[in-house]
Amino acid sequence: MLELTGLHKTYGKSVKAVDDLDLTVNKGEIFGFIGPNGAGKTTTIKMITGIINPDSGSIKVNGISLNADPLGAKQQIGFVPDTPSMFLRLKGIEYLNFMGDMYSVSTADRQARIEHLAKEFDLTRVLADPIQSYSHGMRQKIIVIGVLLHQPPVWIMDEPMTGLDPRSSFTLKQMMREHADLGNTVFFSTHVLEVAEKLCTRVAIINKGRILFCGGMESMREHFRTHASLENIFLELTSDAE
Amino acid sequence: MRSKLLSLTMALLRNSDGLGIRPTTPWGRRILFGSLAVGIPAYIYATVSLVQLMYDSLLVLDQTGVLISWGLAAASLLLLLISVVHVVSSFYFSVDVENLLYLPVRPWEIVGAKFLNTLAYQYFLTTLILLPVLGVYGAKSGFSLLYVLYSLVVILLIPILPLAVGSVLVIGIMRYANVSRYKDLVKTVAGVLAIFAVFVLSALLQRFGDEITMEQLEELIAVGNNSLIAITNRMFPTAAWAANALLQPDLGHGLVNLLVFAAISLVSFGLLLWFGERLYLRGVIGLTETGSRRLSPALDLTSAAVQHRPLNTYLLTELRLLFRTPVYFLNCVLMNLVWPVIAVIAGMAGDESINLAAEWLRNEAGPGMLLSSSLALLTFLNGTNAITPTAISREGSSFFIKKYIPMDVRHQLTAKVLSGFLLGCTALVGLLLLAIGFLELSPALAASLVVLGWLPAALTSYFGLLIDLFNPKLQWDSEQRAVKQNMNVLYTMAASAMVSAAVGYGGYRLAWGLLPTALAAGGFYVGLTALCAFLVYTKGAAAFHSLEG
Ligand SMILES: Nc1ncnc2c1ncn2[C@@H]1O[C@H](COP(=O)(O)OP(=O)(O)O)[C@@H](O)[C@H]1O
Ligand SMILES: [Mg+2]
Repeated sequence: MLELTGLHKTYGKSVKAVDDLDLTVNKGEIFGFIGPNGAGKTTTIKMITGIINPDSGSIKVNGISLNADPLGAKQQIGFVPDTPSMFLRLKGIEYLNFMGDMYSVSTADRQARIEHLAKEFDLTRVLADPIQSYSHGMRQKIIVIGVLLHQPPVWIMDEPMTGLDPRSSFTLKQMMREHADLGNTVFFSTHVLEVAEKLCTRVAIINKGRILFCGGMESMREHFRTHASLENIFLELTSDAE
Repeated sequence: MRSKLLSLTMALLRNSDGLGIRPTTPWGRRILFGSLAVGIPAYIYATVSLVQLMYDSLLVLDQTGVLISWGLAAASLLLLLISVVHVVSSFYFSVDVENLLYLPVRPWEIVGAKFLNTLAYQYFLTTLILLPVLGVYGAKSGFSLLYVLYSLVVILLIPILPLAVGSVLVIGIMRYANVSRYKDLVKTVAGVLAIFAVFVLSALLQRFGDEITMEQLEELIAVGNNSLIAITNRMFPTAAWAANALLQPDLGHGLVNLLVFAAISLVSFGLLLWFGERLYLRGVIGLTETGSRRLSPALDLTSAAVQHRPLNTYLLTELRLLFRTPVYFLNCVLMNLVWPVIAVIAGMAGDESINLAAEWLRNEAGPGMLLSSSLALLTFLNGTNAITPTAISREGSSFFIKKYIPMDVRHQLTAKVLSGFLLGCTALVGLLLLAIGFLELSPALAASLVVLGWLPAALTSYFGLLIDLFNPKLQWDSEQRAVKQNMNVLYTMAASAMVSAAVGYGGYRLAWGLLPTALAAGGFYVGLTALCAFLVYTKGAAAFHSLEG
């Protein structure tokens, strides 16, 4: 469960990246956070994960306030950032152990989950290799494995499909489904509407830091049809399926 | 063709961050201005008075020209040494290299552009070293227009040959180092090798000087009239032409020497381009990939995936990155490991000067003074440890990771301090080896060194991290920029030098016995370290929290 109230973030003096954002994402939901480039998706996600501090507003992760108990809130989250170029000089297994230790994953759980997830993503063979030698997609996948090691109640991803081949993309979507079905919250951003279709329980459309729509997929289509002024946004989100 | 070289050079220059001193935070600005306000006058005062002193003593012997000759040769040697490190980082480990490789330019144009960029940086250094020397000599011997003119030309020319020699050396070594799967390791070793090669080279150059006997030396001195230049010129043979031009700044002999020097410098640049055209690409291509992936043996997760305490894992990861990243290893780790090696070699060689020093120490200095000067030395050595002054900077664009993991910032900072502290303690080990093994110090003195000796490493580690927390350099695109041209390293060095001087001078003036000295020094270091640690965990942790990368 994710509760964002009155979030504001201004870069420098003038760039209002996020402007009075309210959002609630429930347990068991797969929530799509959709908006064109520069809409404020990454900024919002960085505030939820504690990477940057909001100018005002509050963030609660499963009822834990990020401000009052940052470590407790962060422990609830598994975060996949938008750039997979991290930990390049570590070996796959070293990165997984790092994440496991940061999130206090026991040896037994860790071994079982690494074995399962690595097989799922077809990375078992390369766990002993440096991440630097992985392809873009493989890097993305090892990061996802590291994030899922502690079975985060809230799983947050910033543009997770970018750079994944169709098969891995399918596997990832399946994992999101399974994770949500276990009663966890899944929250991801995308600039391609198509990615959210079929998968999401609910979506929010964000542009210029403001939420234009929040609701189910069906009512979103209806909303776009009846609000002619949103047509441009709609075109932007559908034009370049990546 | 020429315009391609020039536009490439300009593009690289624009893309670089100058000397890397541009502060990124208000704190950085304050620290920078403070240091400049104190540092520049202090530097000018110190160097000018030192050079004046040297000039006056040489004047008695009628050997003032040695100042110029020695200054130019020493600067050339220093530039050669620095060149190797610069070239390794900028020609090979810089990320922009990847982007240059697919441009429609010849290898020599890339090498040329990189060379000119490195040169631009070296002019700053050259000016810093040579200006006091050339300035004082000029002022004392009466400025002439030609002297000023020749000085300018010499400053412009002098870094070219050392940089060209260094580049050729590195390009040659890298051509053969770029082979195996273990690229990072090989690259690191190659870097160390190149530095070593320069040491050998400079030792060889100076060997020529050794053949002169004491008698000959006395004769030379007796002759006067700058006769000693014959020796100093040998330190770096080509610098002699530049020295001759400056010592006789006229349109005859002087001009000829200057022209010869210019010709040699330009030819060396040309040779480098020729060399680069042939060997550069083979050394650089594929450097950024990690070689072909082998089929790893199936990983045994029962031993490979085991839970550890977060602090240990964090520390281990810091150390892994330090040892595995060639630029970090060369700049942050190697210096620490060098001290014990030097100590042992110096001790084993049974060097005459060490024996003399030991004798003098036993007779003249009391054990209290020995302790304080040992601590002062350790503080100075630990001040050169670049690990914690770059601990935040090295995170670069990955800094955000350290903000979302659920690990207390203070524990993270402790792990970072430990990474610097552990490697810093090697200096203590070195000194202890030397002290106990070769200087035969009293057990009481050795014991107090063991008890107190790690404090300087703790102090400098906390101090370095404190500086980096307030003035981190997170915006970089190649690892070298995080550690080289990072002012925080210099600040830490300067602060440690001041503490070192205070402790050394205090111990000398007070001349207390061993126990009072140990108590006082212990209190001093514990107090300073506690202060720095307190600031790191309060103000520093807050700064960490508000950093947004
Ligand atoms: N570090 C930053 N400094 C200044 N402006 C930024 C920074 N990061 C993002 N912005 C600006 O904030 C806005 C939102 O960016 P972002 O959240 O990254 O969008 P998205 O992820 O939806 O593409 C954009 O206008 C972007 O230019
Ligand atoms: Mg984004």
